[in-house]
Amino acid sequence: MLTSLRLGGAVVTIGTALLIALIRVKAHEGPEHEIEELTELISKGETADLLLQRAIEYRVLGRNNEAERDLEQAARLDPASLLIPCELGRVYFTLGKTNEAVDLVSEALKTKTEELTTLGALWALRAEFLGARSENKKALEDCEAAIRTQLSNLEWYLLRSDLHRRLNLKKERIAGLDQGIQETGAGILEIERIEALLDDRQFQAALPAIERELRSSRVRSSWLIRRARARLGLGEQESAKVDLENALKEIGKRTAGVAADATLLTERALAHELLGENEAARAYYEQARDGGAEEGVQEKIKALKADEDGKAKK
Amino acid sequence: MADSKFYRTGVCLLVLCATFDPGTHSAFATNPPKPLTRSPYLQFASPTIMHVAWRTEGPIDPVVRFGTNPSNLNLSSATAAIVVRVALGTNGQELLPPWRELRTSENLRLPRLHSAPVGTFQYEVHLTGLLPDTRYDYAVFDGTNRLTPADGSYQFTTHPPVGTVRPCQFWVLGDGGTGREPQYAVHEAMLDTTKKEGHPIDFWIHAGDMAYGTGRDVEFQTRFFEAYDRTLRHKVCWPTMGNHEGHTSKGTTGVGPYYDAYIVPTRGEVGGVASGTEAYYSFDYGNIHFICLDSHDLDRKPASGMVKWLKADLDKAQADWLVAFWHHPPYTKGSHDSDKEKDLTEMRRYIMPVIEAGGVDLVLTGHSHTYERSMLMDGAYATPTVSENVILDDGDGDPQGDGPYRKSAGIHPHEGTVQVVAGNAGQTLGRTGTQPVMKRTIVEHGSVLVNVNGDTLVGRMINRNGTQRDLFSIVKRGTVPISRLALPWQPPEYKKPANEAKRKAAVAVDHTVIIPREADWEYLTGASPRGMSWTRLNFAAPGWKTGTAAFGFGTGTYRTELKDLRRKASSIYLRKEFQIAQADRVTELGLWIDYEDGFIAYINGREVARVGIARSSGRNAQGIKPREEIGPTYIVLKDISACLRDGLNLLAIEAHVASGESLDFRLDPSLILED
Repeated sequence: MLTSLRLGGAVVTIGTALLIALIRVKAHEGPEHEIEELTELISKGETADLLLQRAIEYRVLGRNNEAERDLEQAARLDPASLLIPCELGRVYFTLGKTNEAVDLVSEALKTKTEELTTLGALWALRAEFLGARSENKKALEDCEAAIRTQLSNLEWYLLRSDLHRRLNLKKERIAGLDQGIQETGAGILEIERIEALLDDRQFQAALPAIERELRSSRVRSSWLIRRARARLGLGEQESAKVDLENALKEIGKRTAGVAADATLLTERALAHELLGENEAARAYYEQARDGGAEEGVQEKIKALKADEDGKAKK
Repeated sequence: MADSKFYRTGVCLLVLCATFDPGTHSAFATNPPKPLTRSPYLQFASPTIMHVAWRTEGPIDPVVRFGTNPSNLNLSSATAAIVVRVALGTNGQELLPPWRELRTSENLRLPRLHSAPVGTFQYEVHLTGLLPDTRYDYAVFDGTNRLTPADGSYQFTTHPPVGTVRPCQFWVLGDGGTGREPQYAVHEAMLDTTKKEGHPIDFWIHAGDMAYGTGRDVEFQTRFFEAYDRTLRHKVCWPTMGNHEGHTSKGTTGVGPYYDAYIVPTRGEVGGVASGTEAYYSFDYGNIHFICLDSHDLDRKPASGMVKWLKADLDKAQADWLVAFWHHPPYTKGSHDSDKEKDLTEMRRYIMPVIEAGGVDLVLTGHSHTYERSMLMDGAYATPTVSENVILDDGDGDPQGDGPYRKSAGIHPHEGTVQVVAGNAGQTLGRTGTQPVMKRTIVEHGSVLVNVNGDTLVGRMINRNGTQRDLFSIVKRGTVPISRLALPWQPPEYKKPANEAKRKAAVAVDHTVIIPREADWEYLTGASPRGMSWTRLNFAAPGWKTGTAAFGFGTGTYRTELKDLRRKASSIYLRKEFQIAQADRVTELGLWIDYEDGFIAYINGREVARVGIARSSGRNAQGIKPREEIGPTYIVLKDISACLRDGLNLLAIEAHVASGESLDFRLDPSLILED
């Protein structure tokens, strides 16, 4: 079938099928194909942008070494870019090259730029890397710098809260979360604040918020466990036990017959831990770890294992 | 339940755009009338809230008048409820005179648009105190000067009160933002289907990749806002970011053209737990709770902020139906493979367990350029995906076929989810294999209409011609026992065709011809120019002639016939100046070109295209391949943002034959702009 394509007065006859079937705008047909296309373009003229794009596709396929190579070359071609060190730093970190990641981001942070949020992202990235090296105090300074560039960034408040927790800065953690709640209104910062209150043994202060959440929640297990923590702290052992048993019942219904999600497994482990059932707690923490849970789970497993070993020795 | 016959009527009469004529395409996309540079569109709605946003070139005195009577827009937006964002260039940037004057201290204090054309003012009006489930007409004014026509198309209906059970229909599409013909066909097919059925959509969900290739502001403008203008002005689009938008927008910071374009609830204003970020959010519509995630660039692991929020949001959800959407599909063998790609396997491994423990009924995604729809399934988190023991109902879900999928009334964990991959709204289609949990895999352009009526949900894939190509239904009633099928139905194995035709680019639907065919060019033959200064402006061209395209010899008709070059190692060099009013408004430049055998194109001295010539240029051009195909083709010019200037520009092209024995030599270019 033929039709007419008018371009500036001239009439060109072309196949309609060509127009309908042969459509492509920088075609994106899976990362392998994208890599193939980008490689062809790069062979004709290497640019930082093309290398960056190919590195992103390599990363999607888990080919981090190739992503690293492309990003290093991209950084050489465009040393002023702040995006490239962000991406390369992340790849270094994934490859376990934390020192290289820190050095790279430190260098990028010397750049003078009007892009404050990009700068903030670099501060936050270095905070994360330093945190992984257990340099929590330096990480906290970086995180504070990141927050100053963008007061509405929820992720950075969460990161700061974690660093405060690691540094045992309980009051600062609560105050920092108060600031985050004010700036972002984020629900998870409110949850984090309740956790911070419990960690700071401010059980009475935490209880009204927990009760409010319990009243409005369809799924109650996480709030029952938090209330149990508060009640245990206040010496109300029996009512705490009831909460924990109810939480475990609800979790049991939600995990029957399926590979449960790591967040539920962590909850389940915590409930058992609070009930003094350390063996069960450790088993569920291990399952949660295998399911991808990271935050503090490995430390919990170690502590429970040490406790079990201690009891066995006695 | 809804009458299924209602859904079976859909053979659309529209056969869209079998022809392609720039003279008639204005029915599909138009630039908005000045001073508007982006027509008013709706965002972030609730039973009592609506947002209207638009852009102008330069500032206006922004007013939205609205009311329940179209002939009496008796309400007006409060000045305090208007957010203004601007693009005023950067320090030291060369600016056109009108934009220099806009860099006042007052304007420079306004929030900035990430990368919009200089001179852009974006107005976002927050309308509050509205009546639930009520239709309002609205108009945008510059002071007292009305900017939008009184044609009844600028109207909105607020959400029904939360929890209300009433029929609701929404449109779902992904990967459409190409600016090419299939995108328009898919949109038209939806409009035509809903018009014919007398059942318009209430809102729509875009599953990402709405602005190819890298989500730049200009790509948003032409390939999303102008392409869907007719729907955007009266139906709210709830978005999620795709990987293509992710090139220029970042979920970690909430900065970029994607975040400039959309306004979404972050403080739980429309139900759900306040996310505190525009990267992910939730909202209620009647008895449905919707959850949007950022699957592109945020951490998906259980300890991440997004997953913590997701769990908290699901823990609180009280609606009858839960629908989640994001870009990267957990299950696909379309143009992407969920067994190989990290983004996809992580969504399956880390996100799906939380989704299914939370009782979600329907998951809507894009990314993979095909339509895939699963059986009722649960617990498929392993890699590779297998269907054994994860399928709860292996029927087709069609009330007129194997029957609808059945779940218990209310929200219950692990009672089954239907996965829909709707990445077929415009981009090149593709398939890599067979995904065992999918009941349907349809490699056709189209989109999805979802209808929720009480305890029944119906999803339909409508292809680009308006034909219904799939229908499934979920009914939530009573108590339904769950059983897992050890040996469920298996889809037939897909075999990739041995010789797939190589696909080529096409001209954007919304385009302007900058240099037409049969234009006059400066040209040089029989010699090669020294250096590269001939590819730039202000080049004195002694020995160059002027001729009209097409140039060449051999088969075909040439306005400038180059007989002297026959049986020689022929080359030709062309130069032509062209005007661009404002370079940062250009989405794409391309050559519609017939050539033989190879050519290199330059704009203002920078190479922007190379076809059929392996290395070097001019007299040193090497590795020239004989062109096998016949006729004109479209070539997208690369890196134009780096070389295009406001005002006068120069396009230069050199073409070479593969060998001196060649009987044909041809160069017939035109320059096309998507703006």
